[in-house]
Amino acid sequence: MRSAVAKALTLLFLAVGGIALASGPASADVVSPPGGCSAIGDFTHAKLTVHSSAYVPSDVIVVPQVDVVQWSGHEHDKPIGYVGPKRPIAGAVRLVLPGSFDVSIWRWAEAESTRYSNAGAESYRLPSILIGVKLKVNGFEEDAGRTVCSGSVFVEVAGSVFANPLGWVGLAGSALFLLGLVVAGFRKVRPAADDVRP
Amino acid sequence: MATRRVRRRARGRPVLGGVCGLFFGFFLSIALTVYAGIALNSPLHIELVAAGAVFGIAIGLVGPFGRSRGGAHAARRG
Repeated sequence: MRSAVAKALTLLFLAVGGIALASGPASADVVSPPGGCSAIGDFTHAKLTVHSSAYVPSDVIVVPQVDVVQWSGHEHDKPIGYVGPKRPIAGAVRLVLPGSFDVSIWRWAEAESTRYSNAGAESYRLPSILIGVKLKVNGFEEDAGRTVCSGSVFVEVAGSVFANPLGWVGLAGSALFLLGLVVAGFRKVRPAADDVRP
Repeated sequence: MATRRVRRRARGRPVLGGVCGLFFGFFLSIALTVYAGIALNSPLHIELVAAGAVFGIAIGLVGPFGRSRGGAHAARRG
């Protein structure tokens, strides 16, 4: 399931953040430097279009649990189909965890690429354990060893939080171990050393 | 026959408290992530787990529930 989650998250980030695979383009005004990269994600079933330049890194973008995304990404606003000098490109999309740990969910690299933009369509289905969870994803794009852009954005999967089994696990576990805490707080009565009769 | 003199000490279970507190913090952070919209990358998760462990140990050391020492002796005397 991990790979499925990773793929789905990456697709989301492709759509809303604008990092494009192995083709060079990347994020948007959620990126630094602004305008270094830009992207558009069009969620077909939800009829939702997301422009990366319309958000800042602290924004939360709510996306459908299941959809098809028509995406395009541009490096320095280069149009789709534009080709330029060959150069090595690389990048990654990462999920940010507590303690500022990053888990790479997708990496790419190409020794020689002439593309400065790309577009495509991807369908995805996210597991219900992600519903309502605010995920921070970040990414970067390197062009000839130089970081063209990097950025991050929060993504949240739409749906009722009560449909998320992880929430019930959290509630049940909390109740169980709260009971354990109460038990641990009860005074135990045990005989002292001088209680033992010789 | 020697008179049996009993002195009892009432206290909680700090090890159990620490373990339960740690897991309580862990599961609480999961519930807050889903229901309260706490971001997955928030440092609050680690703080909750650590605070839960500390709180559990403290609960176990203090033993705030159940009969007090005086109460226990009083019960025996009765």
